[in-house]
Amino acid sequence: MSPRAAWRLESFGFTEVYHYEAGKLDWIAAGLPSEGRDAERPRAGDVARKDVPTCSLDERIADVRARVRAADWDVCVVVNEERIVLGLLRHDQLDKGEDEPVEQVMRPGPSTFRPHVGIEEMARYMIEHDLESSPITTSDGRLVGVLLRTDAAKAANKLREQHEREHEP
Amino acid sequence: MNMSTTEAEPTAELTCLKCHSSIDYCSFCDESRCGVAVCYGCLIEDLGETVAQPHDHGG
Amino acid sequence: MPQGIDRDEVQRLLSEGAQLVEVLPREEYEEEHLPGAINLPLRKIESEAKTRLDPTRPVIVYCWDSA
Repeated sequence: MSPRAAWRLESFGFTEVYHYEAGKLDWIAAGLPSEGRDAERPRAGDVARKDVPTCSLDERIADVRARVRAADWDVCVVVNEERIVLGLLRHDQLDKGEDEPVEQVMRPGPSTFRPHVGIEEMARYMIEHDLESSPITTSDGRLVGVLLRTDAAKAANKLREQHEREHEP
Repeated sequence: MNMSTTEAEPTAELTCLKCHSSIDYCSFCDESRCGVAVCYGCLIEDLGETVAQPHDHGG
Repeated sequence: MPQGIDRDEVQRLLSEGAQLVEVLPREEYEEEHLPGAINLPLRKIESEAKTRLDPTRPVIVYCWDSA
């Protein structure tokens, strides 16, 4: 549809016409701001904690553990210099080892979720799967933050209560 | 139904709860012993629906 | 010939004053659209493009995805 619109605009004399090929889906999936009725609907990217600790593959696990625990966290995302998610250290991995590099103890290639996913769906899945945290990344794999189950459940409950209030007879 | 993520028999074949296809691990929690395992396709379909899909517009 | 661009290029052009046009039907536009985009469904382009768009500035059109 949009290539035809672009061609039509050119035929009207518009000289600089571009076609955003990946479209609205790509924009929303990247967690970029939007406008409209659904734009305010809470999503995984809005609720995710952006201050989650990160580390690199070659850091010593004991150093990372000390840093993460000192910041009162129980999860750490392993990223490269481009903030691409390469692994995850949850409670069990953070407890392991001393001098080993992170690469040896991390959970490699964890499942990640896009910022546009609705918070109700994420909360439901996290509760069903008993998962305490899920990394949220852009469609090109960059870390946005970590969604904690407690935050997701709280946001989903709030949304449900709001919905019920709006639909009270 | 047991909703625990860890009580499936380790030797039992893991299948997607939605489409029953055979999978090595759950695409949501990455566990190979997940009691509510879901395959990648079903997960994407489920979570993908949370962005309003366009109505028919005859692209 | 209209040029296909990616997300980074969209952001760059917007910062330079480009106009954004969503060509999906009004209902979808009202649900959600890119910041500052105007809605010009394909059939309205004929009658409204010349009055609602500035021909001296770049125009970026988009729909749902590449399909």
